[in-house]
Amino acid sequence: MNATIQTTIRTEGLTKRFGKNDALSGVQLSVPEGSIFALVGPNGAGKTTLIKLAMNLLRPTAGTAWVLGKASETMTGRDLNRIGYVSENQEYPEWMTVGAMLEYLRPFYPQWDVALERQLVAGFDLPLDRKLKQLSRGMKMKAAMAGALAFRPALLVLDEPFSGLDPLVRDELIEGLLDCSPETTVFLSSHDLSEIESFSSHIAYLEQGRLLFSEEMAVLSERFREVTVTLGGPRLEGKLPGTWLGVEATDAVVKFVHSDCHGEATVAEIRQWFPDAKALSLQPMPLRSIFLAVARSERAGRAQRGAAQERRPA
Amino acid sequence: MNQVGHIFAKDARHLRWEIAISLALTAGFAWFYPYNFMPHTWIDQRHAAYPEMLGIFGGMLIALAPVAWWVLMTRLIHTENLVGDRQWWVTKPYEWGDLLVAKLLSVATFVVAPLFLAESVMLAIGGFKPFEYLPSLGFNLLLTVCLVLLPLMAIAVVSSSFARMTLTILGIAVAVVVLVMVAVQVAHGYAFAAPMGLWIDLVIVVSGLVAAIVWQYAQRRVWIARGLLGFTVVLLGVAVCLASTSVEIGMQYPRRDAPLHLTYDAGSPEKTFTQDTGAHRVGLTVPVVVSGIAQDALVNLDSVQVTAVAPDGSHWTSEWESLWGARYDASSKSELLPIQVSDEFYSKEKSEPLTLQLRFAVSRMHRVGRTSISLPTGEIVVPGFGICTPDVLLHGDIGNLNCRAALRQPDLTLIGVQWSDQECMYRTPDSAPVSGDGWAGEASPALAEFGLSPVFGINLSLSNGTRLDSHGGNQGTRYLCPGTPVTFTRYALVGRSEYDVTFADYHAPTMPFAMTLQLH
Repeated sequence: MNATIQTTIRTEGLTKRFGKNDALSGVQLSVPEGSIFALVGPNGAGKTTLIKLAMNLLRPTAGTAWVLGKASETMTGRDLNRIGYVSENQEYPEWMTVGAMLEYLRPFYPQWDVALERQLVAGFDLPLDRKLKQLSRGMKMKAAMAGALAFRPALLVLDEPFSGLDPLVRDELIEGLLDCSPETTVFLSSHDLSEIESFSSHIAYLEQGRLLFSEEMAVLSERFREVTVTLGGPRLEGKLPGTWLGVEATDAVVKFVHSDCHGEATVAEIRQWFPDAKALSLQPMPLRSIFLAVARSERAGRAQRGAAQERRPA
Repeated sequence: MNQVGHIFAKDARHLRWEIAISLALTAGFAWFYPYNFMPHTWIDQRHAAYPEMLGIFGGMLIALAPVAWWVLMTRLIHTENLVGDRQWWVTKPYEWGDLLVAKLLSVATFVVAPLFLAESVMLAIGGFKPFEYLPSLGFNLLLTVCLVLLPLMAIAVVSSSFARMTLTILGIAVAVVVLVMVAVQVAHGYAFAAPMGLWIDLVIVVSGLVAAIVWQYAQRRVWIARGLLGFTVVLLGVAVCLASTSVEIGMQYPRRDAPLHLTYDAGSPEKTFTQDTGAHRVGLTVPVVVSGIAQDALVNLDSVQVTAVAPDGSHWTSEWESLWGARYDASSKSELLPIQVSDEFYSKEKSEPLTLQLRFAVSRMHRVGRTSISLPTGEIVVPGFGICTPDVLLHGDIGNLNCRAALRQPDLTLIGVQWSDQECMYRTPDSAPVSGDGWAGEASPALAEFGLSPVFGINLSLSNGTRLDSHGGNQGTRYLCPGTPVTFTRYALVGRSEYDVTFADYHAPTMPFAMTLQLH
């Protein structure tokens, strides 16, 4: 990554322990300014914990999260007037109407844009006179999103914003996200890989509290390829490269995911392993397949390490 | 933006029903509670159908109003709940100081100010001018804030819900009961006006509560705030357990020249008697001669510590015990001093001449005012004391005086009256009046007492109100007649001191046979 690019969020050795369980272990992460940064991973990977640490809702056990240039632990109310936050499991002031909520929030943000607020209310089709407790989950998320976007935040943090929403609401929310000013950095966590693939510029993958990778979406898409080798000679022998994930071999075909693909150089590398290959195919992968490959590989690696530790004499 | 005003306005709008109920209960309390302290003449003027019921209703409201405040304050604080990490408001640009000030402003506006108004109204109904009692009213409200509102607020800021808060309050109530029981055990028999330890305890409680509230608003680290509250309770327990009566007596009653002199009057014709007071104690009376008290002075023996020494050197020392009614002035001569010794020591040494070493905690008072009035049938306003209403009987005779004071008991006051043996209408000029008197008030009352009602009834028991025959039989009541003189003599505390005296060759009186059986 270019060193001159400003980072909106940066974490250094960020660790959070709940009792004996490590929810996050030494996470190093950089979220570039202006990016739409998606944090993905399976349930319990630590995505929400990381977001809560960044928002100073939790205190780290070790390490620091720097948000808009300030250590999250030292953030005060004043720092939050540049940060919008929407979460699927927040406790909203259910007694307020949508209109009252927006009206209440308005004076908190000096840069609140009333025209944008009206535009968001219209775009999201929000009923201003309805109480939040009377709204569906999707409408509630849209109301929260309107409140988080109307002041043109420098950073918009979204924790599972699309979880359990119907496709129409999801599209509306994503549209709202894409319409927000280009200087707004969006940092979101999601399970919905197909959805975030369409609009995220950067992506990071958390697994069991550890960050497996964090990079630009385009780079990631280029890096991963589904490789199919049709064999014309002997079966594969020897220790395979670590960048080959989920290798499956039959007498005639070898399939794997190459996690560090570099065009022709990679083709040449593969041909060195299979000099008698009849055919070689490198296919781009959807984000979902990439994550399945990475997750399976990670789990298999963990299982192997665990077995090795058990075999080791005391 | 002024966050304080913005949050305050939002809370006022959101909690309008809770606020309305709280205000209605407070207003109802102010309106109906006076039926409990006002004289019958006032109640009769109201032409209320069931005045007793209204008094009971007022008494219920004095309990319900604090419940309404509790609900209101809890809802007020939990609107921006400080426990948990899922609240909407914690990700908004709230300044914690402004949020805390907004909540305090709401409590002040919707709880403290209405209470101030309610107390002012009750004072006015009671015949007192509220503006003359502003410092006392302020002190009373301060006590209410420190002892009721601050604890509720502290519990609310570390509770996530009303249900959890209720459970916490129940837990604390149990802890307080245990603490009081421990305190009673530790400070056995020790009681006198305004012990300093109570103020130290109050400072500990208020400091702990304020620290927990401020910390929680500033940091939202609930376990540390809960720890602070727990530490406060522990510190309070330690302070209560370590509260040494001797240290407290030493601090409040320095050794200096005694304002009186007591000598043992072995040949006193006064009967000395003995009684079993329970708790393994035997009460004895010691005839003494009182001297050395200056004119216009009053000496109150607040507490005594008795050391009884037998000829063989064995001895027994009591705790500091309260002495009720041991109050002497320049006219006091021969008196009986009540003391207590252990039943075991008494049984063993009762036939032996004892040496009594007595240590007294003594309050010295000086007469500061005397008001003499001719008894009217209407209300009597006594400056510095309160307002008294004669209890007018069927034929215009007066049975007693019902007195009330504002915000605290009055200064110690001796009330003197002239009783008539006959009903006033049959009284002849040559009928000799019978003097009666009674003490009311406290030696050194605080600026205000803790309580929601600002008007206190004064417990007044006048002597000689009943005609007795030579055998002590009741011959009927005496009457106070309109126009007869009534005097109110007020005393103010000058200082306190410790006074030690030793009586040699004291012979304990013999206990009556029946009591001896009880004792064994």
